[in-house]
Amino acid sequence: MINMFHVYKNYDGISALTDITLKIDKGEFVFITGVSGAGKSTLLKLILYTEKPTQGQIIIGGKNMSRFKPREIPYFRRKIGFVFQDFKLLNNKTVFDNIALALRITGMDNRDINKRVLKVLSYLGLQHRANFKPLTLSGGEQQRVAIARALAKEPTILLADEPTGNLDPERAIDIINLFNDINARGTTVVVATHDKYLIDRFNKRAILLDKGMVAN
Amino acid sequence: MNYLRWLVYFVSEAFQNIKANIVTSIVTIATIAISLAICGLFLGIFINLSNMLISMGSQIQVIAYMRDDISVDAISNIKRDAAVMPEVESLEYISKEMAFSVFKEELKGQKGILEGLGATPFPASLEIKVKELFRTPQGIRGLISKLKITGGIEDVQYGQEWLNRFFAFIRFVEVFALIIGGFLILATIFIVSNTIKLAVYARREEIEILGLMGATGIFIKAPFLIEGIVEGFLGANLAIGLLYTVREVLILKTSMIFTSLVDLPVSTTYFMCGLIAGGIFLGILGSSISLKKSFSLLS
Repeated sequence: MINMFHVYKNYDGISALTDITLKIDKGEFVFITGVSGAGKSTLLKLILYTEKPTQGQIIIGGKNMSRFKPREIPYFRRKIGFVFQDFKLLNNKTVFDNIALALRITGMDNRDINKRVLKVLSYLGLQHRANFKPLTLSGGEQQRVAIARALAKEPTILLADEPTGNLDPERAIDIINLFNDINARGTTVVVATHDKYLIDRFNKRAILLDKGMVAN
Repeated sequence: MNYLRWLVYFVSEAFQNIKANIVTSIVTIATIAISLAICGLFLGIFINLSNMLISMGSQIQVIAYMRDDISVDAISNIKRDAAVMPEVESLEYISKEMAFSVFKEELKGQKGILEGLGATPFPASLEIKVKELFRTPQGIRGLISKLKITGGIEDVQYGQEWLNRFFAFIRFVEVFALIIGGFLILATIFIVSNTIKLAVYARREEIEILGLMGATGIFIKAPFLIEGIVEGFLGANLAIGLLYTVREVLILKTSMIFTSLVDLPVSTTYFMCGLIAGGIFLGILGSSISLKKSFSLLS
């Protein structure tokens, strides 16, 4: 599903990733781990195509990303769900509208949007929060809304960058359990985290990054 | 169907954004209004000045004096030839007798001066009004040379010194208007685009999130552009209101000469439509420039 061949990423001459070659299979659950600054977020940004590699090839779902035309990028991103540590929710919109927006941009019919949003809210146990604004919810609930938004578009890949960074350990385990459940339904899940406890608790493949290089 | 659904969404988003960022929106509308009012005031004065110059230009007259020994037939020929010249708007033949009687009429009360003059000392003449297109130094010179070769014309007068000054003044007004108008338009675009940039910058996170979710450029930009149109429209209407107030105050409080220059054509349809179109254009341009800058900042 995700293949990287000798990928380098430099920022103003400073190396963030060096010679990354890795393969993540379809339907796999992978942790990307390492200390802060190891290059975890950069790796996810390359997969989401918000950054371009300085050198090397990235192939996702059989498509070489270096051959993307600018107009193809939005359509590519619609197949990828993302969850960030800071949730990235629109605080002036309700929970329902935040999730609906991810579908609205695809031109989906309003009736289908309603159905899909209610389904995903119910799956995450958030039905009673549909008309709330994000800032009135707890951190755990906000992260669930972000996950609901990512899931609503039924992505083939789910990327999560430190999704538990703002949560207490109990909520963090809930969130990873949720990812596990999503993965069991066939979605490829890539979670970047520096939380060793979570990696040890869940028996999944972990790719360790050290100073921008794969260390294991 | 998709397009209609999106249009409804974009318009509702634009109005929600205006409502949610009401202070920034008011600042943008006020900036557009003040900028347009200044441009409108300048444009109004320029239009009035142009109209004044056009009406002055219509008084440009060429007088062709005929030789004393000219026959009646030759006069008819000259009149006929001059009437079909492309430069000539209208012409009037003033016979020697008519010229004398006009002179006498002008000197009413000082008849002593005329004693001993005997027969009329004035030549017959053609008073020619020039078409607007030919009211230029070259146009008039062309007409004069044509008149001179018709034969029978002794002299042609057209107030050369006055005309030269008049045309120099028109050129000055045109160049001045071009420089000041261009400067005003650029300054207006700069101010409006920077004001809108603040609004766009305040929502850079929203733009970023939409981009990450896979929204196309037009999906992200459309609500901002519609917001720009709405704010431009409202700003233009406010500018019309401001100019109307300025006009009323100036008409009531100033002398007639000054008034004729600043009596803004606010109520004329073309002026109002021009300002509204200008406002909408400013809104769209301001949004586009700020969006372009913000997008390059985010990518």
